[in-house]
Amino acid sequence: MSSEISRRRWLLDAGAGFGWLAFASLANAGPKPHFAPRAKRVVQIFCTGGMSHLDTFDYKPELARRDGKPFDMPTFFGQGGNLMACPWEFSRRGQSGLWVSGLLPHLAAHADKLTLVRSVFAKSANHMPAIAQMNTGFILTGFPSFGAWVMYGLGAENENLPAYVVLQDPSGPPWGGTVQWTNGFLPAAVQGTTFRTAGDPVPDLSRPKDIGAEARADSLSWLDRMNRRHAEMHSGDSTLDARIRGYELAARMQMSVPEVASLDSESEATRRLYGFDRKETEPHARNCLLARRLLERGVRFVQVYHGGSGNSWDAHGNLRSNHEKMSRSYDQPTAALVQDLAARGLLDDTLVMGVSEFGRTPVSQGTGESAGRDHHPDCFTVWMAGAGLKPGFAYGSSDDFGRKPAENPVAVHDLHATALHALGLDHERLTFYHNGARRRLTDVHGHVVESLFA
Amino acid sequence: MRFVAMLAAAPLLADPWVEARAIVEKRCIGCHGPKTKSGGLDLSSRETAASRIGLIMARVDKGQMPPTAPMPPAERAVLRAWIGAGAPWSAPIEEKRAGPDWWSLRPVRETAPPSAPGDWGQSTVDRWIHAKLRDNELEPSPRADRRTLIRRVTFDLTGLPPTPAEIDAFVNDPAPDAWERLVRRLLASPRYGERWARHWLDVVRYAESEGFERDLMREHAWRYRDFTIRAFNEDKPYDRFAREQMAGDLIEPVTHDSIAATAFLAFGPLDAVGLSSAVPQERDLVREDYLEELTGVVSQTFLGLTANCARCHDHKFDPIPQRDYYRLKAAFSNVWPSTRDDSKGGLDELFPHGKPLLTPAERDARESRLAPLRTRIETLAAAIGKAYRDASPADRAGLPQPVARWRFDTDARDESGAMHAEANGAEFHEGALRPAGKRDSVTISTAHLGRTVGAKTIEAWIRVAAKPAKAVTLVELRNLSGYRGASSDGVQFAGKKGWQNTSVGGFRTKAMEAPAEDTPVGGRVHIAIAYEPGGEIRIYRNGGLHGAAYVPDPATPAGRLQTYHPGDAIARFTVNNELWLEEVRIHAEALPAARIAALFEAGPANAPAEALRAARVESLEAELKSAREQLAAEPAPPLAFAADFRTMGPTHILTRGDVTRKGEAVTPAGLSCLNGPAAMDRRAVAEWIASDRNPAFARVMVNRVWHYHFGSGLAANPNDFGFNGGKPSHPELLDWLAASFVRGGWSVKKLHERILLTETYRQSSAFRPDAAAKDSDSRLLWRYPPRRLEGEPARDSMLAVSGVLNEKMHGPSFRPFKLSKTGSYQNYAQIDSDDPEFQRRTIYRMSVNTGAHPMLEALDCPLPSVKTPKRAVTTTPLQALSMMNNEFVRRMSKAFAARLEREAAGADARVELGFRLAFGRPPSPAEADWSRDLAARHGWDAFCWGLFNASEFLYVL
Repeated sequence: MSSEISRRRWLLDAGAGFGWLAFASLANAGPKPHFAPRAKRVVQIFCTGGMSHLDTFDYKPELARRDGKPFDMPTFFGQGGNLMACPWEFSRRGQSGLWVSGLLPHLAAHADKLTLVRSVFAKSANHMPAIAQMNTGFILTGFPSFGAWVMYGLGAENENLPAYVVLQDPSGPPWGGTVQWTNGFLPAAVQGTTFRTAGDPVPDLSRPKDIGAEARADSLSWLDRMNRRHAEMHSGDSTLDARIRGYELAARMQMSVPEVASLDSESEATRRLYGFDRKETEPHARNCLLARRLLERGVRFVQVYHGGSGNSWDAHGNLRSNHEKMSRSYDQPTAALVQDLAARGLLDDTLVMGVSEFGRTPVSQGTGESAGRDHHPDCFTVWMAGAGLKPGFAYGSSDDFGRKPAENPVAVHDLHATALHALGLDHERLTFYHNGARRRLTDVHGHVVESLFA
Repeated sequence: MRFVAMLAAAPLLADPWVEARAIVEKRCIGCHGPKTKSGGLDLSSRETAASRIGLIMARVDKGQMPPTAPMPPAERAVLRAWIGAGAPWSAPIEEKRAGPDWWSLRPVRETAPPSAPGDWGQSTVDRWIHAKLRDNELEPSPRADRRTLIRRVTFDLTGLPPTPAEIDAFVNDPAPDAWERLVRRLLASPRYGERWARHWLDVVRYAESEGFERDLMREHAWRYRDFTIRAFNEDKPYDRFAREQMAGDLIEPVTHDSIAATAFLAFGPLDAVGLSSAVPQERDLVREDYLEELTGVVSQTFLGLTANCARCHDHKFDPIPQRDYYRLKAAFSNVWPSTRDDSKGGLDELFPHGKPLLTPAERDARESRLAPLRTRIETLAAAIGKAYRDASPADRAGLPQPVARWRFDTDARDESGAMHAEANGAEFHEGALRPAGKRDSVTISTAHLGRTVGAKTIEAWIRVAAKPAKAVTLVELRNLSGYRGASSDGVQFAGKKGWQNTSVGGFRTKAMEAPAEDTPVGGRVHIAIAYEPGGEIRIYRNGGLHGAAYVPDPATPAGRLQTYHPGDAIARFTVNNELWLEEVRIHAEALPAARIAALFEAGPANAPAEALRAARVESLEAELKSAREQLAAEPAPPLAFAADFRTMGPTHILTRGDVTRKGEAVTPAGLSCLNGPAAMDRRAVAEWIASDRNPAFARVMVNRVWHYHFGSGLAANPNDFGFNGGKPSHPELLDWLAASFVRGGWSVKKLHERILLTETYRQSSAFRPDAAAKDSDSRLLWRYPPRRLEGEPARDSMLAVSGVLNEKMHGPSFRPFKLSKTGSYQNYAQIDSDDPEFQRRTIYRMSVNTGAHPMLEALDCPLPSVKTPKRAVTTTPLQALSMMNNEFVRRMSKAFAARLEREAAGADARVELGFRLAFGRPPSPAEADWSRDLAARHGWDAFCWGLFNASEFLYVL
């Protein structure tokens, strides 16, 4: 066993062999990156359902020229029609001249901060497994999510907040639900914690209504005395101490979580920047602003879902109305987050990733006004920002129809390897033994795309 | 320590081998190691590689090696520098894989145990443990006190705390066999099976929902859980227990439990949506992943080998060739989870369901009871049908003859072919098919088409029962293969758009510019659609062309004429409360206008209503009705979610595990590294696995049992006895346990006794810094390792201590959820209530993937569909929050407080009872003071909340 693994194992096993230190305590004794990191934290905005690359970031003039022409390709629903042009105008943006469609004017305004990977490909054409692959590297369930690996690799920066936070779309969870931010076979301490927008942000955060503050304080003090006495009688078993510490941290979380979740202290200008003033942008704006507050306070990994399984970018029919509706709620808050992070000097060491589980087909699904596009995992675009990436830069390209990568194909495993690299982690060394294999986020694959970095 | 070497790595870089070695290990040694020696080359040491060093660099530079992908330039530079420096091998590379002589592959061998060095521990277990401790200059710990022991063993065997009375009885039992009697009493308790079944359910990834995005409920899966509980309680021999799970449908005696046991094979998560993709490759990939998971569960659960790691290539660490994986898989390649039989309904997705729980004898008895009844129904229906048809006007000569034809006068039989349908949910009313009862709309499906149909005419006589407004596809001819992308054609009423052809994806559908349907209510309308070989589609209403003929866009996927295949295509009829079907015909040619006009002129073949009424044979109809009622009264057999075994093609080796790259076909066999025999079927594979014909089967189970008793196995990784799983701490003890397990008739209860009736198990758990310095996690067992309760015993204990535990055993799981659906996805929203059902033990809580209880999850209960041979034990702030504030804990604190107030009078007595129930001991005077004070100020529930949150409640020492 390499020293790397044994050190992380040791942290997990906490010496006594039956537990782990409260995860937050990793802040001090925690694992360290393998090499100097470019970024300390990650925010990932996940568009569920499959945002069309052809209608956002991957400009294909040939598609417009051959609009309505037959094209032979198998599709998931088997209802593939003819080639379909993008209904929105593409233009070059900013100094960099990156092509972005008119669907995303706000993000386009920050084109010079974006890094596009236009040759990403995934394995599954079905939502849940494809989302699982983007999150865990595998299409089967039970593997740890990207955020869990990052926590396992880097630990927490702020003891008083969960280090891996998931913000769901108000319309509901993505396909697969909690499986998408699971710790898998890693210890439960590294799983994502969902912050809810209504009620307690974290389950069981507040004491029950019928218990007064004094009653709780006295009960906790009784408990503390009992637990300390018990731990003294069994000194040497560090998990008993960790348990006492867990209650202390829980008490602090009861203060810090409501504080971070309260958006009232933000200025009117900030709220307007994110789009609190409009009904269609407000829900995602809340999540994006909360994401910034979490990142600011040292949360390691924030994942923001835009769309759930019920309301998503899954434009099988009515591409135009679906993508217009989805982009209206997505574009401004997302762009505001990038801008706000940059303004606060956080963008340099934050990795921002805009992902979707797959793109959409160049051929239509159905015909006429109600035409949409089917699932397309063979080629799509992921955008990134911050983290010492080359800004205003596009890497890889797709063929004339955006069907397959033409140059520099990037597998999901490569994206993961690259993201870990930005965090100072070597994807081949970040391993955990489970059921017969030394498991990695990148399975047995993955190459760091070095040329994305400045 | 390597750790130290790593920190000091920089100065060591002077040795070029340090970096080169990492590359050789990563890229080369898998094939060019001392055991593999691919091409005769072994790069592990200078001696073995010396003569070929010169060749290495050339092949690497040409990109020939490594064979999968060229080596990155940076790594090549390192290799070149190393070779340039004379290729020093300062330390040879150790073998990084298991050979055929790996410990777990060798036969079980019994060695005489060492004699006990003192008077501590005379049992065989104790002698091996003691000897190993001595080898490491350690001594065992003294025996724990009786209070600790009864708490330890009661939790261990039943997952519940001992009652104060049980504690007192044991503490005061002067008999020399008090411990033996305690252990035997607990093993005989029904609570034992509930506790140990839960361990087993972890291993076999028992899941009561299918996982993936739909996560639909498997409502009949609980029978497997009951099978497991019964097996442990009845001490079913372990070999039989295992065989039933792999082949309980085949191995005599087949019982309800043995059929339910095969669910073991089927519990894997199912991507039903992927399985109905229109892309065949996508379907194959999903299916292959399902079988990989299944093969992995079989080999890990029973053999402790990760055969699934050999899907893409030979196993990297263990002697399992890729071929062996496929041969093992072949034995299980026809396994499917049981699903609702909707194949005839054309629903292309798989819905979890159960299969009838009938032994062969019961099935035969049922068949012999029901077959005559079915025959009678068939005969009567045919006779009645004939009577009706005799009353109908004969087809006029010269009219086209259909290849399939249904007259919905008294049944939905195909008069021309064999595409018969049953009127499930529909009824025949005065010569027409209509929804039965109050249903708005009903679809019925036929049997498969018997011949190929390309060019065609689909013809329907439709009764207008009410002014039509709702869209309905009255007739649909549809292929089933191709799933979502399958072709279809037929007669559709599209509301305001009127009559049109139906098609998947709408590619063959065109809105007709034709007048609205104006047939008066009670009248009938004739629709015929002709499909020309060239692709043209013409729709006729009452013999005249309806709208214009059109040709769908031939570039769209279903743009050309669709062909329907025998054994694949079916017809579906849908009727609603506006439009009923009187007759449907399919002709195997595109009829010209004149012939269609003639068909319209000839009218429906059905007799007029008055003629039908006249033709009624009431006696026959009464008899048919009673026969049908008799059939309906026959109770349906109970259902179990279990494995379905379908007919499948041969199993092929897949190159790199890729479903598109089929290699040689293989037949079932056991693993060659365990001398598994070849050419076997599933039953024979099961019989070989679950036996002492291989050494792994017994070893793996005794190690699991040890793991649950001590928190860690003799071999640390219960599902992996391969190279990566490491070596056992006490190999001789493991083998002795395995051998005596086999000798003892595979009795698990005897195995427990062998482990529990020892000094090793009864040691104190007190921490000893001197011993911990040598063996920090007590793998050598210098003390009993203390443990935190898992989620289930934690919850169960709160229920028990509060006096509200409902001990009801077996049966359907309780569902503490508000169930709702989003499309076809199942949602499980948590609810907590004091319904007695919700106060059953946690093993009876429905175990669904997306319905985890926050408190159980915080206490490390695993995701159901993931095999978990070893649970994580974590301590987190979220766990503390959950124990502090969860509604369940709150409710239990109140129930516990009520119990104290009910059962004890006065503060002293209540504090005393609370401590005895929760911790199994009386309070110290100081603790009593604090507790009385807390209760006096904030009530007894505050005190009870404290007891539940205390470490002493959650830890077993």
